[in-house]
Amino acid sequence: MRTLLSLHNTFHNRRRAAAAGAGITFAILLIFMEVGFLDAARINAALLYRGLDFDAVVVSRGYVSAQRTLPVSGYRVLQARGAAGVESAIPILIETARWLNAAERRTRSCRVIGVDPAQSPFLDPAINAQIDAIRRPNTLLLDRLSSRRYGAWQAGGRVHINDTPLTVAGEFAMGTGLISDGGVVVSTGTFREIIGRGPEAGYDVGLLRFTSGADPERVIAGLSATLPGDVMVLSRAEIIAREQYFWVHLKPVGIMFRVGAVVAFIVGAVILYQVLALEIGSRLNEFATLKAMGYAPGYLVRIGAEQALLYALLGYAAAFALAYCLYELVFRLSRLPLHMEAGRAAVVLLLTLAMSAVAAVLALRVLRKADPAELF
Amino acid sequence: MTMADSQIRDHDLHHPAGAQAGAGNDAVTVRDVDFYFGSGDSARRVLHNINLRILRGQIVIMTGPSGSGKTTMLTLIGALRSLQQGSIRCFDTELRGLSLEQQVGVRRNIGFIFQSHNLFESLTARQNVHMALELRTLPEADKHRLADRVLGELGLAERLDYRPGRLSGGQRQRVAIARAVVNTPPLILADEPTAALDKDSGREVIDLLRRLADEQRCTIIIVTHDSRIMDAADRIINLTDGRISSDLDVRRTLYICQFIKQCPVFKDMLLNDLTDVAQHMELQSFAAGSEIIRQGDAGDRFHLIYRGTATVSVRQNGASREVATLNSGDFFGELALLRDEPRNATVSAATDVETFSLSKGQFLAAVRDHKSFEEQMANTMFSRRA
Repeated sequence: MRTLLSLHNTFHNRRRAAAAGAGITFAILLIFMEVGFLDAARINAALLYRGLDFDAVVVSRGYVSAQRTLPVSGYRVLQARGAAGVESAIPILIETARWLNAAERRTRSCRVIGVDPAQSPFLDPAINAQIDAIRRPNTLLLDRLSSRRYGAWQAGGRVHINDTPLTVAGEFAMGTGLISDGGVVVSTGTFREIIGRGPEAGYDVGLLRFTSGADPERVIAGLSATLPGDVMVLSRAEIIAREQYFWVHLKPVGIMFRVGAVVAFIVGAVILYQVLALEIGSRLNEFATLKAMGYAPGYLVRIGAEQALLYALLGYAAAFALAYCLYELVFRLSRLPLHMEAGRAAVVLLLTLAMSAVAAVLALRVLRKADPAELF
Repeated sequence: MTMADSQIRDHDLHHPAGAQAGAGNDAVTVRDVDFYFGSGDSARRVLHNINLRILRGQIVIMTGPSGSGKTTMLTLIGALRSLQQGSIRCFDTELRGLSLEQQVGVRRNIGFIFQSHNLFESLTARQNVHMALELRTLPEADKHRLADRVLGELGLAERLDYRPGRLSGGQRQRVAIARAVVNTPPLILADEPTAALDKDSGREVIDLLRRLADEQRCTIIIVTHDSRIMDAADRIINLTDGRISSDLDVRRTLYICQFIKQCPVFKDMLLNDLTDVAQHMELQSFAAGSEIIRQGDAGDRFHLIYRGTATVSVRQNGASREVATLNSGDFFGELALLRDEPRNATVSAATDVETFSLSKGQFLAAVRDHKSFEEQMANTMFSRRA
């Protein structure tokens, strides 16, 4: 077995190895967190639509996100319902309102979804089982994954949204994460009480269900041709992608995480480069000795590359464990759907390897300075 | 030195530097090597027309003031630098114009010992030696055996698993030497290998190198200023300002010096001057029965018998009378040179005879340079009759 010079070199100076390992671990942990947040934002953005039962939507031409759109008149929804291949069209209302935390005397953002209890658009059986409870005016179903900052509440208790007193009729679990501090589901009547606008002023999203056996593409093409230009028809995949694009690419939070991930990558590469350059620089004589002994330049490169890989993998292992714990902590604190996933772990591993490759290519240039003729 | 010793060294005495020998006997042949540092106007010439032949199994010490080019010479022979002009043959490989890969191949046959040990700090003594062994394909067990044996021979059996940081300076240097010699390379290049060592460790190292040269016919070139190890060398080459200023065959010089020192002419000479004289002496052969000098001839050379027996005879009144027998270490012929007289006796070879001889010009120059010439001459004339 060959003597593992790279391994021995890496662990020879324990203090340096620890400092280097900590730096690299930190950078990789940062990548884990940023990429995790980005994933969470993506998952988070899709949560609403994934929880609704529909094949396509009809929304205003001015649609930006579920919370930022122009109303679609009820007539357009009716038109869509009449088109070939469409089985049903269920309109819903969405608006962001202010939830009052009475104990703190502060308001928190709250996403209010107004639906017709007779036509529940939700997939979650827990919501559908309780949907009749909101037929009573000024009652709501409250998202259990709402922020802790909502303060204490309980089923049957009194809460205030936009200064309107309301009664909690039941609870469900969906999560709003980055979009707002929490969310509720109410009837269209209650929605009008809270927000000040009702279905007569138009809906925010019209959810379309197709007849079984209908070709979704043809139905959407048909709808787009029939309906006037003030609305557009998007498939389930399209509206989810659009919502994610908005949160990941257009909103500052998403941009922040993406830039954060890039910066973490660069920081990691720089730290690793410095560690390697220092390590190789302090052993330049030893590398030159290898050349004098008859080791080919390729062997020297291999030693350096192995060290880069070792540092990177050690940093990755430590960062993985830390990220796993931090994810759970963040989830508990923010309700952001943040969990360790195999796909993300693989992506970060690839980024780590790329990072070590970049650092190694830069640092190994130092090896050229290892001149055996200078040893005498 | 006893005669028995010099018999063992016969081989060297018969092939002094510059003599023709079979190419198979050559370890390193340097021809017309010039070397410059820098280029263009700022180029500095560090080697001037170096020519050198080093035989297998020789220990050559290269010495000279710093900046004399001896280290550059070492790096050129070791294929650590590329040649600019001239040629160096290292065994059967011409080093001029080698590619980087080919240079690496040549280096595998060379053991390097550096002044600063350059050990791998993160590896134990044994692992350091293994790094050299791993350049060859050897069974694992053999590697262990070889590494442990060489380290043991250098007195490091108790330190096999120590890293350099926990070894003394002498021990580190010995590990470095073990690493250089473990593959028994045909050529070992060493730069001040004993500089960091105390007297005893230095001696152990030199003894090991001597053994490698004698038993494995390793060729060893040492750059050093350490006068304590000069006696282990077969040859001492002195470089000054990039030129070979002297090239001394050590055994031959020692042999000559110890005997001519008994000659009154040279008795009070400093060793340094004696060495100069020895360098100018040439090996001459005479067949049994031939006359080496003849009575009545003009004196032309001074002789020191290296091998064989000669008889001295004086012809007087028509009758030749044998007056003495000369053997190894005996010398003759100086009186005629000193007095500028004809030979007063005939010396003929009783067996095949080999002598180291010095020409009249060189002889007189050496004597003249020495102080109190008159006194010496008087001494010589009074104390000798032959």
